[in-house]
Amino acid sequence: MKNLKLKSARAALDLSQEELAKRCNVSRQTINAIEKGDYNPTINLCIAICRELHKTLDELFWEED
Amino acid sequence: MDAYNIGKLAGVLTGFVVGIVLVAVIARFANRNKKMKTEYDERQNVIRGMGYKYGFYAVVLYAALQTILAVAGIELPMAPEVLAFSYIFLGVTVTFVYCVLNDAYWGLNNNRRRYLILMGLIMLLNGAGVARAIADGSLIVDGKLSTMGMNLLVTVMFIIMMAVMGIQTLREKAED
Repeated sequence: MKNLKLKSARAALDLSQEELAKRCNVSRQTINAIEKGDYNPTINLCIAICRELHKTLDELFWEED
Repeated sequence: MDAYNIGKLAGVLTGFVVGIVLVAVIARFANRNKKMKTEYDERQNVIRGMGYKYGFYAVVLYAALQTILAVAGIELPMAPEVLAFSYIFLGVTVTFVYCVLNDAYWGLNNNRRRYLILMGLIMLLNGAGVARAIADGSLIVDGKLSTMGMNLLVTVMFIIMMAVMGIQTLREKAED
Protein backbone atom coordinates (compact mmCIF):
# COMPACT_ATOMS: atom_id res chain seq x y z
CA MET A 1 0.00 0.00 0.00
CA LYS A 2 1.34 3.42 -0.95
CA ASN A 3 2.43 5.68 1.89
CA LEU A 4 0.83 8.93 0.77
CA LYS A 5 1.13 10.42 4.27
CA LEU A 6 4.89 10.23 4.06
CA LYS A 7 4.92 11.69 0.57
CA SER A 8 2.70 14.63 1.55
CA ALA A 9 4.67 15.29 4.76
CA ARG A 10 7.87 15.39 2.74
CA ALA A 11 6.31 17.66 0.12
CA ALA A 12 4.99 19.95 2.84
CA LEU A 13 8.58 20.60 3.95
CA ASP A 14 9.60 21.05 0.32
CA LEU A 15 12.05 18.16 0.55
CA SER A 16 12.98 15.97 -2.37
CA GLN A 17 13.35 12.22 -1.94
CA GLU A 18 17.09 12.71 -2.38
CA GLU A 19 17.27 15.30 0.41
CA LEU A 20 15.23 13.23 2.83
CA ALA A 21 17.32 10.17 1.95
CA LYS A 22 20.55 12.03 2.72
CA ARG A 23 19.24 13.23 6.06
CA CYS A 24 18.20 9.69 7.00
CA ASN A 25 21.42 8.16 5.61
CA VAL A 26 19.64 5.90 3.11
CA SER A 27 19.46 5.84 -0.68
CA ARG A 28 16.87 7.82 -2.65
CA GLN A 29 15.51 4.55 -3.98
CA THR A 30 14.79 3.38 -0.44
CA ILE A 31 12.65 6.46 0.29
CA ASN A 32 10.95 5.93 -3.07
CA ALA A 33 10.28 2.26 -2.24
CA ILE A 34 8.76 3.21 1.14
CA GLU A 35 6.48 5.81 -0.47
CA LYS A 36 5.40 3.31 -3.11
CA GLY A 37 4.74 0.67 -0.47
CA ASP A 38 7.36 -1.66 -1.92
CA TYR A 39 9.45 -1.76 1.24
CA ASN A 40 8.57 -1.92 4.92
CA PRO A 41 11.23 0.03 6.84
CA THR A 42 12.60 -1.02 10.22
CA ILE A 43 11.45 0.90 13.27
CA ASN A 44 14.84 2.67 13.37
CA LEU A 45 14.37 4.07 9.89
CA CYS A 46 10.73 4.98 10.61
CA ILE A 47 11.90 6.98 13.63
CA ALA A 48 14.65 8.69 11.60
CA ILE A 49 12.12 9.69 8.93
CA CYS A 50 9.63 10.93 11.54
CA ARG A 51 12.33 13.05 13.19
CA GLU A 52 13.29 14.67 9.89
CA LEU A 53 9.66 15.34 8.94
CA HIS A 54 8.62 16.45 12.48
CA LYS A 55 5.88 13.86 12.63
CA THR A 56 5.01 10.98 14.95
CA LEU A 57 5.12 7.32 13.98
CA ASP A 58 1.32 7.21 14.10
CA GLU A 59 1.01 10.18 11.78
CA LEU A 60 3.21 8.64 9.11
CA PHE A 61 3.06 4.89 9.50
CA TRP A 62 -0.18 3.89 11.22
CA GLU A 63 -2.67 2.50 8.75
CA GLU A 64 -6.23 3.46 9.52
CA ASP A 65 -9.15 1.21 8.52
CA MET B 1 54.73 -29.93 -13.19
CA ASP B 2 56.98 -28.76 -16.03
CA ALA B 3 58.58 -25.34 -16.48
CA TYR B 4 55.77 -24.19 -18.82
CA ASN B 5 53.07 -24.97 -16.27
CA ILE B 6 55.05 -23.37 -13.43
CA GLY B 7 55.37 -20.22 -15.54
CA LYS B 8 51.68 -20.33 -16.37
CA LEU B 9 50.75 -20.75 -12.69
CA ALA B 10 53.02 -17.86 -11.72
CA GLY B 11 51.37 -15.70 -14.39
CA VAL B 12 47.84 -16.51 -13.23
CA LEU B 13 48.74 -16.02 -9.55
CA THR B 14 50.37 -12.68 -10.36
CA GLY B 15 47.21 -11.70 -12.22
CA PHE B 16 45.05 -12.56 -9.21
CA VAL B 17 47.32 -10.68 -6.76
CA VAL B 18 47.40 -7.62 -9.03
CA GLY B 19 43.59 -7.90 -9.32
CA ILE B 20 43.11 -7.98 -5.53
CA VAL B 21 45.46 -5.01 -5.01
CA LEU B 22 43.67 -3.13 -7.79
CA VAL B 23 40.26 -3.79 -6.22
CA ALA B 24 41.53 -2.47 -2.86
CA VAL B 25 42.95 0.67 -4.49
CA ILE B 26 39.83 1.15 -6.60
CA ALA B 27 37.58 0.85 -3.55
CA ARG B 28 39.50 3.58 -1.73
CA PHE B 29 39.67 5.82 -4.76
CA ALA B 30 36.08 5.35 -5.85
CA ASN B 31 34.38 5.80 -2.49
CA ARG B 32 33.55 9.36 -1.56
CA ASN B 33 34.65 9.02 2.07
CA LYS B 34 37.92 7.21 1.16
CA LYS B 35 36.77 4.12 3.04
CA MET B 36 37.43 0.75 1.45
CA LYS B 37 34.11 -0.63 2.57
CA THR B 38 31.00 0.31 0.65
CA GLU B 39 28.13 1.31 2.91
CA TYR B 40 24.56 0.21 2.18
CA ASP B 41 21.26 1.07 3.80
CA GLU B 42 18.91 -1.50 5.37
CA ARG B 43 16.82 -2.10 2.24
CA GLN B 44 19.92 -2.53 0.11
CA ASN B 45 21.36 -5.05 2.57
CA VAL B 46 18.16 -7.11 2.34
CA ILE B 47 18.21 -7.01 -1.46
CA ARG B 48 21.91 -7.86 -1.57
CA GLY B 49 21.23 -10.89 0.62
CA MET B 50 18.66 -12.03 -1.94
CA GLY B 51 21.17 -11.33 -4.73
CA TYR B 52 23.79 -13.53 -3.07
CA LYS B 53 21.15 -16.23 -2.62
CA TYR B 54 20.27 -16.23 -6.33
CA GLY B 55 23.98 -16.18 -7.21
CA PHE B 56 24.48 -19.22 -4.97
CA TYR B 57 21.53 -21.07 -6.57
CA ALA B 58 22.88 -20.30 -10.04
CA VAL B 59 26.30 -21.73 -9.13
CA VAL B 60 24.72 -24.85 -7.55
CA LEU B 61 22.57 -25.46 -10.65
CA TYR B 62 25.56 -24.92 -12.91
CA ALA B 63 27.64 -27.35 -10.84
CA ALA B 64 24.81 -29.91 -11.04
CA LEU B 65 24.71 -29.47 -14.80
CA GLN B 66 28.48 -29.88 -15.02
CA THR B 67 28.24 -33.07 -12.95
CA ILE B 68 25.59 -34.52 -15.27
CA LEU B 69 27.65 -33.59 -18.33
CA ALA B 70 30.77 -35.14 -16.80
CA VAL B 71 28.93 -38.37 -16.00
CA ALA B 72 27.63 -38.44 -19.57
CA GLY B 73 31.19 -37.97 -20.80
CA ILE B 74 30.46 -34.60 -22.37
CA GLU B 75 33.26 -32.09 -21.98
CA LEU B 76 32.73 -28.37 -22.46
CA PRO B 77 35.21 -26.94 -24.98
CA MET B 78 37.24 -24.88 -22.52
CA ALA B 79 40.45 -25.26 -20.53
CA PRO B 80 39.98 -26.45 -16.92
CA GLU B 81 40.94 -23.05 -15.50
CA VAL B 82 38.36 -21.33 -17.71
CA LEU B 83 35.71 -23.84 -16.62
CA ALA B 84 36.56 -23.14 -12.96
CA PHE B 85 36.48 -19.40 -13.61
CA SER B 86 33.07 -19.73 -15.29
CA TYR B 87 31.58 -20.54 -11.85
CA ILE B 88 32.83 -17.20 -10.50
CA PHE B 89 31.60 -15.46 -13.64
CA LEU B 90 28.10 -16.93 -13.29
CA GLY B 91 27.70 -16.30 -9.56
CA VAL B 92 29.00 -12.72 -9.72
CA THR B 93 26.92 -11.87 -12.80
CA VAL B 94 23.64 -13.19 -11.34
CA THR B 95 24.21 -11.37 -8.03
CA PHE B 96 25.21 -8.18 -9.80
CA VAL B 97 22.22 -8.14 -12.18
CA TYR B 98 19.75 -8.76 -9.35
CA CYS B 99 21.29 -6.03 -7.17
CA VAL B 100 21.42 -3.44 -9.97
CA LEU B 101 17.83 -4.06 -11.09
CA ASN B 102 16.68 -3.63 -7.47
CA ASP B 103 18.72 -0.49 -6.74
CA ALA B 104 21.05 -2.19 -4.33
CA TYR B 105 24.33 -2.15 -6.21
CA TRP B 106 25.50 1.39 -5.58
CA GLY B 107 26.31 2.05 -1.96
CA LEU B 108 25.77 5.30 -0.10
CA ASN B 109 29.45 6.28 -0.28
CA ASN B 110 30.15 5.22 -3.89
CA ASN B 111 31.16 7.74 -6.50
CA ARG B 112 29.37 6.22 -9.52
CA ARG B 113 31.35 8.12 -12.12
CA ARG B 114 34.69 6.98 -10.78
CA TYR B 115 33.44 3.40 -10.54
CA LEU B 116 32.16 3.48 -14.11
CA ILE B 117 35.48 4.83 -15.40
CA LEU B 118 37.39 2.09 -13.58
CA MET B 119 34.97 -0.61 -14.73
CA GLY B 120 35.33 0.64 -18.30
CA LEU B 121 39.13 0.50 -17.95
CA ILE B 122 39.06 -3.09 -16.66
CA MET B 123 36.73 -4.04 -19.51
CA LEU B 124 39.02 -2.42 -22.09
CA LEU B 125 42.19 -4.01 -20.69
CA ASN B 126 40.62 -7.47 -20.74
CA GLY B 127 39.03 -6.80 -24.13
CA ALA B 128 42.42 -5.80 -25.54
CA GLY B 129 43.89 -9.10 -24.34
CA VAL B 130 41.04 -11.00 -25.97
CA ALA B 131 41.45 -9.06 -29.24
CA ARG B 132 45.16 -9.86 -29.27
CA ALA B 133 44.45 -13.55 -28.59
CA ILE B 134 41.92 -13.63 -31.43
CA ALA B 135 44.42 -11.94 -33.74
CA ASP B 136 47.26 -14.37 -33.01
CA GLY B 137 44.91 -17.36 -32.88
CA SER B 138 45.63 -18.25 -29.25
CA LEU B 139 42.08 -17.85 -27.94
CA ILE B 140 41.09 -21.30 -29.12
CA VAL B 141 43.70 -24.05 -28.85
CA ASP B 142 42.92 -27.61 -29.94
CA GLY B 143 39.25 -26.71 -30.27
CA LYS B 144 39.09 -25.47 -26.67
CA LEU B 145 38.89 -22.02 -25.15
CA SER B 146 42.42 -21.38 -23.84
CA THR B 147 43.47 -19.57 -20.63
CA MET B 148 42.67 -16.31 -22.41
CA GLY B 149 39.04 -17.43 -22.11
CA MET B 150 39.16 -16.00 -18.58
CA ASN B 151 39.78 -12.54 -20.04
CA LEU B 152 36.91 -13.19 -22.44
CA LEU B 153 34.60 -14.05 -19.54
CA VAL B 154 35.67 -10.92 -17.62
CA THR B 155 35.02 -8.79 -20.72
CA VAL B 156 31.60 -10.36 -21.25
CA MET B 157 30.81 -9.88 -17.54
CA PHE B 158 31.65 -6.18 -17.70
CA ILE B 159 29.66 -5.73 -20.93
CA ILE B 160 26.65 -7.31 -19.18
CA MET B 161 27.24 -5.06 -16.14
CA MET B 162 27.39 -1.91 -18.26
CA ALA B 163 24.28 -2.93 -20.23
CA VAL B 164 22.27 -3.71 -17.08
CA MET B 165 23.31 -0.43 -15.47
CA GLY B 166 22.26 1.39 -18.64
CA ILE B 167 18.86 -0.33 -18.60
CA GLN B 168 18.38 0.52 -14.92
CA THR B 169 19.29 4.18 -15.52
CA LEU B 170 16.68 4.33 -18.30
CA ARG B 171 14.11 2.69 -16.02
CA GLU B 172 14.83 5.23 -13.27
CA LYS B 173 14.50 8.13 -15.70
CA ALA B 174 11.20 6.77 -17.04
CA GLU B 175 9.93 6.41 -13.46
CA ASP B 176 10.87 10.00 -12.54
